[in-house]
Amino acid sequence: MLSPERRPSVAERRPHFLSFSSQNGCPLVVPHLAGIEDPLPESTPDKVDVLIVGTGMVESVLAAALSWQGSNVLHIDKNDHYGDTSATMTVDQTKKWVKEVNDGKFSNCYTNAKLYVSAIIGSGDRGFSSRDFGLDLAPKILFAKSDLLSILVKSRVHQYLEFQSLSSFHTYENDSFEKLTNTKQEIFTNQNLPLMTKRNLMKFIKFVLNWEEQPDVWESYAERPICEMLIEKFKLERPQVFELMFSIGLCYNMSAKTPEVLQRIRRYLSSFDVYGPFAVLYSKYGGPGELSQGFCRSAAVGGATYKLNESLASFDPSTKTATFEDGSKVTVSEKLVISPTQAPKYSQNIPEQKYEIHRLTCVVGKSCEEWFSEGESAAVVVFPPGSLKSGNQNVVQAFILGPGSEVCPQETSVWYLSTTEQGPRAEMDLDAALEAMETSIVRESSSDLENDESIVQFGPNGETMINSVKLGQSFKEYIPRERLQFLLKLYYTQYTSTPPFSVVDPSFFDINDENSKKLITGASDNGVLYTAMPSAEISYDEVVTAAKLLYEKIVGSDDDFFDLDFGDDDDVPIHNANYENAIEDDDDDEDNDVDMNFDVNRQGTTELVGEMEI
Amino acid sequence: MQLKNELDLLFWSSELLFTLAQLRQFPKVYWIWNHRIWVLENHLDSSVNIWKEELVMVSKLLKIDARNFHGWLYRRIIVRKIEQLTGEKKLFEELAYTTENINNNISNFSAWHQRTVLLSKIFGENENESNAKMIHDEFAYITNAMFTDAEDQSVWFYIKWFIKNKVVRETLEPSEYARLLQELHSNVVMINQDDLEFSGKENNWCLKILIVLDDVLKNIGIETCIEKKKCLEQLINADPLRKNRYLCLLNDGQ
Amino acid sequence: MASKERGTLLKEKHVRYIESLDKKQDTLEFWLTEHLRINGVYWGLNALCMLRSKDVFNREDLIKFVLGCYVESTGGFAAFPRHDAHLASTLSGIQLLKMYDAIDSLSKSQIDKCVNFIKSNQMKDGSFQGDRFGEVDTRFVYTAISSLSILERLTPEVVDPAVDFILRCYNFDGGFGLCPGAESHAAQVFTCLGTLAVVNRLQDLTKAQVDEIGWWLCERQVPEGGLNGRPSKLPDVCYSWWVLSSLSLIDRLEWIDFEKLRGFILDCQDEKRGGISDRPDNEVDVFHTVFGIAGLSLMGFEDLVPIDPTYCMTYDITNTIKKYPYN
Repeated sequence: MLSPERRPSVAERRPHFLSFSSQNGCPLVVPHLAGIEDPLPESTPDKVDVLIVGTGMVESVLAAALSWQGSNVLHIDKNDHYGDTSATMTVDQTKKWVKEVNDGKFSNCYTNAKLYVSAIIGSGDRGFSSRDFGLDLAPKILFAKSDLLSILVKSRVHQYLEFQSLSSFHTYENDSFEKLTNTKQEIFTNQNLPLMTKRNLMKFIKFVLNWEEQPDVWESYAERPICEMLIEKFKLERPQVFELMFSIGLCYNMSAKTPEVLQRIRRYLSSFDVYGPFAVLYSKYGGPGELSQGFCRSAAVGGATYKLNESLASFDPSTKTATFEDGSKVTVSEKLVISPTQAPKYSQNIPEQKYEIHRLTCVVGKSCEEWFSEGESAAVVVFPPGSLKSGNQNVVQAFILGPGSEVCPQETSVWYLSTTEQGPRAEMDLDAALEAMETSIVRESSSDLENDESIVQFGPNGETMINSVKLGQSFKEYIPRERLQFLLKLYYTQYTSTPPFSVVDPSFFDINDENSKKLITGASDNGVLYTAMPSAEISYDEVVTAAKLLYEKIVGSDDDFFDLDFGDDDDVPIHNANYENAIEDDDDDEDNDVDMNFDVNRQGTTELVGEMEI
Repeated sequence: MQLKNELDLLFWSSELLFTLAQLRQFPKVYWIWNHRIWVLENHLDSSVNIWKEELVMVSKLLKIDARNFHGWLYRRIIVRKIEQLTGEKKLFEELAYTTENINNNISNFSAWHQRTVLLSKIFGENENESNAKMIHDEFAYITNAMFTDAEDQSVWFYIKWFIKNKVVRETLEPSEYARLLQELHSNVVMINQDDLEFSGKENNWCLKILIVLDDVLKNIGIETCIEKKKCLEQLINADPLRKNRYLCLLNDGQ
Repeated sequence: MASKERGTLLKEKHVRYIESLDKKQDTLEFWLTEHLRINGVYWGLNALCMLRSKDVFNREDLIKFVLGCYVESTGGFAAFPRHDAHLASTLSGIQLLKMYDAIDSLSKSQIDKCVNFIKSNQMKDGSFQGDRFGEVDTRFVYTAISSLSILERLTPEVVDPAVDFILRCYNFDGGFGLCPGAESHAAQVFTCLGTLAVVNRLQDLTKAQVDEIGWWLCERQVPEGGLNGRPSKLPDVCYSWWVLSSLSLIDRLEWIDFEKLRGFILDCQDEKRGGISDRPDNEVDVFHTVFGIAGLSLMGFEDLVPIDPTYCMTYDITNTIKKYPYN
């Protein structure tokens, strides 16, 4: 069997983790996965409860959930790598994928892939090789307070991953990137906000944290776009409205309705301070690619069988037999779950994927650390409607990863841009956003910010009052001294059945019910559950919802979804148990990883008086 | 302590390590703090360095619990010692430290309290070139805090102290002082109006401060349009827990 | 949330709870709290006094225990036999003897020694340290002054510097801290005002100051009705004593809402085991039990024996103390 080209796996990077949570100091061994550290199995079981085809995020979470629940799972993927629609790929893997797209292999899932790769990659010249890069097909950020994070902790899959904080969010407005000011602390110390604006912002933030319980405030705006409420009721101004809607709420356009947006804003704000002064985390070494792999490992420990390079050729619903391309068969007693990208020919029940997501992935020759907060190597940039030269009606969202995220080498970075705009305008918007970012980073890395008084100011007591990276001046005055070097540029259009703003609808899975009228007689895939393609949502939010819905269809209810109890070491020690270093300054930037076992809320608020302790 | 000379550097360092571990677990036990002072006082290293390190340590513990008043008290002791050993006053650095804490959490009453202690010293010992500028800057800082969070009692208690403070009153020219008070007045009214418009209810702390303002302004002979009686009656309805106090104040007025 | 059973003071249950504390000698908790034992006994007996059940403890046994805590070498009382003497346990010891009208169980020379022990812990600035290890806190000023008052041995040499020190602990917000410059805390407000009340020097405070103190104290009441110890902290039943007694001493008891506080205290009862805890549904202890009951007594609820806010003992006992100044 050919060993496929791929990046080092987590088990190969760190075979033994010294886990904070193991009481006896036993190192955690990362379980091996077939097709990566272990060889692929020669044969697969004759009979299983569930067959899952495709190892994307949802499918992998589902596999783990089912395995731990006791179901017998066979999980296959036709590719020679894990991840499917969520894969993290090398440059060569990307090239291969682009060819497959353009050959029509994923006709209702991806189209229109255009790839440019600089000769520098693979040339040995600057030393870049294909494997130095890990590119996500569907990049995602993780909210600190989210169902996926809870499951990562519950299932212990977080132990196979490394997370870093992402506190740098920028909104593009008037040719400049404004760093997000959303915490009370930032609002308080911001010298640029008028006093009444601060008050209005704080009022809104307090309100949104439990907005459902104050219907008198928002109910009259329920069917209207939220900007009306923000302007009329909270007297906020355009810059704040845009920040709240598009950077904090990560909405796509101005028509977003009030309750949905309040939910999204609250999601960000309530994620703040869970693990530290940030709302969002990202995974190092790759996003959904690493996470889905992590869940596959967990599923394997739970008893699931894995095989790559295995395609589903056909399925006979009457005998419940699935046949693979190599001729082998398996009887599936419960359910067959298929990713739309791996459906066999002649499948007739694949749900319609009518929404487009246009993506542009670039690798650039700059580390972009100017955009990151200290100790971090990622940022999110949002281009609100109307902010770009192209007059974009929908938002362009950009997610930037630097070398510290371990998906690209030093002095490079990966830029993921996406938009929900449909049709040919989309690429124009993406290009306009790219240009804006390009101009900005070239100027930033060459200007001397320290002495620029419009950017850093000091308050009356000597404290720094602004820490936003603000450009201020119009680009017209600026002549770039250099051009940005692109090492890679990838355009593609992805299709999804999930409309923007939604997570997958439960009725999506009803199509293939035995009793459904939508079934096509004699179709080979009657009774098959198809998963949804990733949506435009930049966070992982849809994953657990979708996995749970599928789980419920298979098992009957989702009560025991990841109802796990690994028993022992649930007492977590205090972070930094290394007292010897307590007196020295914590300046080691090497370990900025977020320890998910860290309990931030140790602060006591009770006081005793009579017992000699206050 | 005759023992002192026999105990080497290692002993002292390990005592500090040990008590630090205890302190992290029991940050509110007087004895541990006290023992550390004893260790520091008797340490073989009599330079200011161990005290400066101690200041760093206290800052860290206060980061974990910024309301631990043992920590703040201890910090004052350490700073006093450093001042003694170096001969330099640390008032402004400590003031900046409280600013940092308040910026981080406006509700940190312990930091606001420390601020009053420091400002009183700075004003009193004429440590500052221009008290007047300091007063104006402080007023801007307070105003910022008031707008950012008008529900926080720490800010209002502080404002109450600030406007009634003798040094503040006497440093500024009478017209300056009056102007400051009137600016506060209009800001408080603005915030109160805003609350009324948004939620239909007035802001209780605004009302309470207006009552104080009324007295202060009257004391310097300025006529105010503040209707103290109305404020009190409003408070009796809006803050019923403390209605007897407001009734008392109403009676005082008569 | 108030359960129906908790709508009244479960007096019988609390009496039984306090009674049981003495019998728990086989629990680890019993032994671990040795360093507080004499204080615990005072809290228990005080609660029983208010509940009109003083006889639940055995007078002779108790006096014997207290005398066993007297440290001959220093003259002070310790928390438990063979422990070190401390001002706090000294006050509890003296209070217990006074509550049984048994001060004369101590010989004159023992009393003299005790007075010396107390006075020897006064510092130059008028404050008191708890013992020779040096912790200074207005709490110890109160315990010293109150002890000397019960023994009727106050003198201007002790009183005047102490009052000076107390007044220097008055803060910008109307509260008092544990030493000059320290942040205001409700317990310190009580110990400072209590000290002034014991020596009849409350009038050293101006009306303006008293109004400020009252304001700071009444802001301790949170919307649910309980009282906290300082701004932005959670309410705790023991502040029903520290805050209320302070308000009572400055004649502003009604500046907080009685009904709501009563509701909070009653909610903190354990309707099965008896006893009162710091907050509803937490573990009970004798400390919170006595102070919850004392708060109710001050407010005049539940037909409890009235408690004297100056001394934290019932009036029938404190009325027999000769009050300073002694002319």
